[in-house]
Amino acid sequence: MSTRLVSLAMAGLLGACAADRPALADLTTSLAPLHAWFDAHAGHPRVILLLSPV
Amino acid sequence: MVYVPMVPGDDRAAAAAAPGWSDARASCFWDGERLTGRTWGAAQREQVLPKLLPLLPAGSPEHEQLASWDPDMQPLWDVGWFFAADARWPADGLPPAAAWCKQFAYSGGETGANGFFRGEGETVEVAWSSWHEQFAAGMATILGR
Repeated sequence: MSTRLVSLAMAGLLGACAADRPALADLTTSLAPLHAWFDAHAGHPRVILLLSPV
Repeated sequence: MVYVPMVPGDDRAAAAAAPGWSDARASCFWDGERLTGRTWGAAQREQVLPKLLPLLPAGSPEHEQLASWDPDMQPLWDVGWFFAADARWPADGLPPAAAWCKQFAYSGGETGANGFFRGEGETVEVAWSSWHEQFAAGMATILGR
């Protein structure tokens, strides 16, 4: 699935919130970085998308 | 956003250059080993697959493909989960999602041309839809709109 299509959908629905492109964090051996992100934003709605980058 | 290598050309450089994620609210991860798709796929196969199989015609190629799905060999992807503010990360598997969608058929991204499984609460269904519609529905669920 094209990330472009999903990003267009997100941009249209969330509105522009421009910022520098976020750095990639690697999930090389565990999901701990994702878990930490999830916990860091507790109290807010969150979305996780699994997509191919192409 | 979790990027996983699933099609030719998918690599970390492609993930770093993926369009559209210059948003202060987005965090991006590269899952080169498809840990997410394998780990959460196993949980979804156990929890969700029994609800999805009756939605597809018995004996159809789609039914057979889904019934024989091995998340370790075919990691989960093209999927979105929408979590309420009070969702907590569990000891195992995926946090409980208020809504989710999984694309299973792609035909150009146009509205109505792409097949999705979608779930909300205990309800699961097949929706011929688009990512725009699915994302809107998921966001509406977690924002209470």
